[in-house]
Amino acid sequence: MPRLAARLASVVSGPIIICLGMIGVFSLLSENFFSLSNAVNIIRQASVLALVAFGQTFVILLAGIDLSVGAVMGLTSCVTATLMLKAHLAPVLAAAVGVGVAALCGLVNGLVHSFLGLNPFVPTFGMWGMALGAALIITEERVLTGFPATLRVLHDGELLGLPAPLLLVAAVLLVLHTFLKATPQGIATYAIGGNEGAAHLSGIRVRLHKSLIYAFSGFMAGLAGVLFLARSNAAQAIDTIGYEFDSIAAVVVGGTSLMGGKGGVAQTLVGVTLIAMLRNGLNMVGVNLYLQLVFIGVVLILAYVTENQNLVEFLRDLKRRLFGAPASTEEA
Amino acid sequence: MAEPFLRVESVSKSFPGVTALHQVDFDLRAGEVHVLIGENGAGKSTLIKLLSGVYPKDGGRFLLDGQDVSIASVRAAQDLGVATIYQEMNLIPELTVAQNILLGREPRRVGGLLVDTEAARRRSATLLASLGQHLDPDAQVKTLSVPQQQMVEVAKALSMEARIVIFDEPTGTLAEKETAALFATIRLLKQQGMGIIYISHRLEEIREIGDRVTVLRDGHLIGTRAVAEVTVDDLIQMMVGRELKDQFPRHRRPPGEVALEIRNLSLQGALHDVSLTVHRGEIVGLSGLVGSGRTALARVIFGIDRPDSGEIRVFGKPVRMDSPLTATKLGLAFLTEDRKALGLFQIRPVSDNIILAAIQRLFPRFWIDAGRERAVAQEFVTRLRIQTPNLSQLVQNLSGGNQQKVVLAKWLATHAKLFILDEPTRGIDVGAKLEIHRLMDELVAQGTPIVMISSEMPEILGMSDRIYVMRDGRIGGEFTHHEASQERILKCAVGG
Repeated sequence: MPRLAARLASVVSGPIIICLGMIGVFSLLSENFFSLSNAVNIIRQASVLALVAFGQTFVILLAGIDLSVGAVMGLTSCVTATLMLKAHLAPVLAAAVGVGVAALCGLVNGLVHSFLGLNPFVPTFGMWGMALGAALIITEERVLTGFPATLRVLHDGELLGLPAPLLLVAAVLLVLHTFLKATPQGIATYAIGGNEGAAHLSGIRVRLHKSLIYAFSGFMAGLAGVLFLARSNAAQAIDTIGYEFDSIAAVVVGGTSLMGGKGGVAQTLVGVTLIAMLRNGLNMVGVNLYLQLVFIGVVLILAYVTENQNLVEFLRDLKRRLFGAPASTEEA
Repeated sequence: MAEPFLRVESVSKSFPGVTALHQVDFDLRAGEVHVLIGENGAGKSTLIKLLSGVYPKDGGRFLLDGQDVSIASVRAAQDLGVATIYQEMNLIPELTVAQNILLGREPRRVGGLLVDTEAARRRSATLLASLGQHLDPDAQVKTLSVPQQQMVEVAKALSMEARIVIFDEPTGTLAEKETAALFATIRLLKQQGMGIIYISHRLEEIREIGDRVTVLRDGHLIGTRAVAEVTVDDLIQMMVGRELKDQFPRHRRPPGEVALEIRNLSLQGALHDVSLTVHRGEIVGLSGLVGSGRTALARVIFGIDRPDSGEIRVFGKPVRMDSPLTATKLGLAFLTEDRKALGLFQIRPVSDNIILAAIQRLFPRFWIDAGRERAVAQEFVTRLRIQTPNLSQLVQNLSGGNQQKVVLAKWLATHAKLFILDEPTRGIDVGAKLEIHRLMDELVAQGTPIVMISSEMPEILGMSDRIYVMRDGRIGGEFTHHEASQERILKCAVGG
């Protein structure tokens, strides 16, 4: 095989092929799917998930998990909305406080996990309950509306003809990708996820580093919460529940290993795109909501199965499984 | 000769229940290789872990250039110039060679914000070149061979500007040619004036690479000698030391028919052409160093790992040992060395643990008769004198010795016809040890053969009727109870 083709095949993973396949299928089934306006639409829908999934990526790179992000997003939007409505705080200031609260939630997760030695499932699931409860209390279980529309610019705005959420996600992606690949802390993140003991023996402050990564995941959930608020223009505690699972799905489908030490935010963007495109496409085609869930489940598993294989290897492997093994077996 | 720049004075370290190091003195000169030897559990690893900041010491002093230094963390050790190359791999497989070498100490640019990848690459290449290695700094470590990975570890040590480089059994996984390359590297480090601490089990290596040698035994310093002035026999004598009294409850009988026969068993990277025979009424000891293939052999016999070639016969019948289920059906019982993780259900009561493996025999119908369960469990608790307040006590609350008795009871309840015991008395107190030895004697008296793996020389010598010594995955020698002596076995195990 020519080198260029081989190189191309080696980066084209299962999820990317599935994305391309979906574009084809949905374009055939719905005349509106393959259009600029729908692409912008998908990007806007995907942006919230992208932000929270980027934070989740860092945690999963450490071989951890953050189950609190959905509830923390809700808490952020409720805190921000309450501050604007009751304390008449400037929207930007209110959002900053909201994001700060989210980062604090994440920091607590990280400290409990790494200094008390608890499996991350426990503190982050506990935080899910605490954040959800707190959000319900401060909103008195109501939907908050009627605050200044300043934050909407995050979702609806445009710059040079490009939608604001796209620019936001692109900027964040660039910064995070650089952080992971080119800073000492980024390398330490991969090192801890790859072999925690060896990272410790190399003099990396493992527990501190882990705590800060969980705080960062909280921070990203906070940003996602603010963007969600900007989109819906209403704050409700339970609206963002479910993002914890979508974010984990996006990370894993993208190709970041649940065992840690392998993957990155660029891969996660592929996972996010896949999920967003699937939701959008199924809606456009008019598949009923419950059947959508079934489809999404099937596609997620399919994407996961094919994520770590490049096209050439995958086809070779499939052939081997279907038509029997070639000569290289163990027992002659 | 140069004065020592590192002095370890009267350093001690205890872990719950064991004194790992007892007031040990040690020193190191610039430009020398100081070899540290001793049997399994002599305290070598503990000493280097104290020096590299993994554990804090309990007592004593470390003097570096005459200054009292505390080595409180791994980082502190590195800052003092102590680099350790551990036996198990300590690289991150997904990262590149350069990233691994400079992990935690990357060159920076843009005001310290970013890693200077170009500088990291150059520095790694220079370090590797100084070791005569020409690896691609951008290659992922997982794509390298074991000796190449070791060179990356050495380069990492160099990058720390280490003055003391500690090698923990570095040749354990290397072939002969690779070992020669490693020794060349060590000589290079010596010439640069570094002090090398070299831990090894292989006595023949000491002459080749060492300048001085220190022997530890049971956490005590036995002595330090110049390599040129000692023989391998001297070293073995120092490692073994004590005379062993016959403190074992054995009644020797003539062996019966063949119970287990193994022919030319091989397993890639672990066993090479292993043959052995076990008779009824016989305790067969498997001796050898940790990693010599004893446990690998037991795992193959019990069907956990499948051999590449070879034959296993149980009571005369050739068998295809493809799973532990097959092994148990043939009447084999395997007490693993890690009873906590693999032998017991810690959070279940004593009674459940005892009947668990025998459920099908005891309760062939679907339901479990609680009265019968208690009766069976009580019978074993009494017979093995398991000290537990009652049958519903959770196993995790028992002492190590009593836990081991529960594991034994579990397999006795299955009416097993052949026992494989891996380190049956490790970490348990003297009293419980004696009782387990008595029980083993009882078992063989009833004709049940036992294969016993043990790292404790007295146990091997005192309990076995015949002894196979393993070395590098092969049977290095076979001794009857009369022929065996500590010196002979050790010599056979280390290849001296």
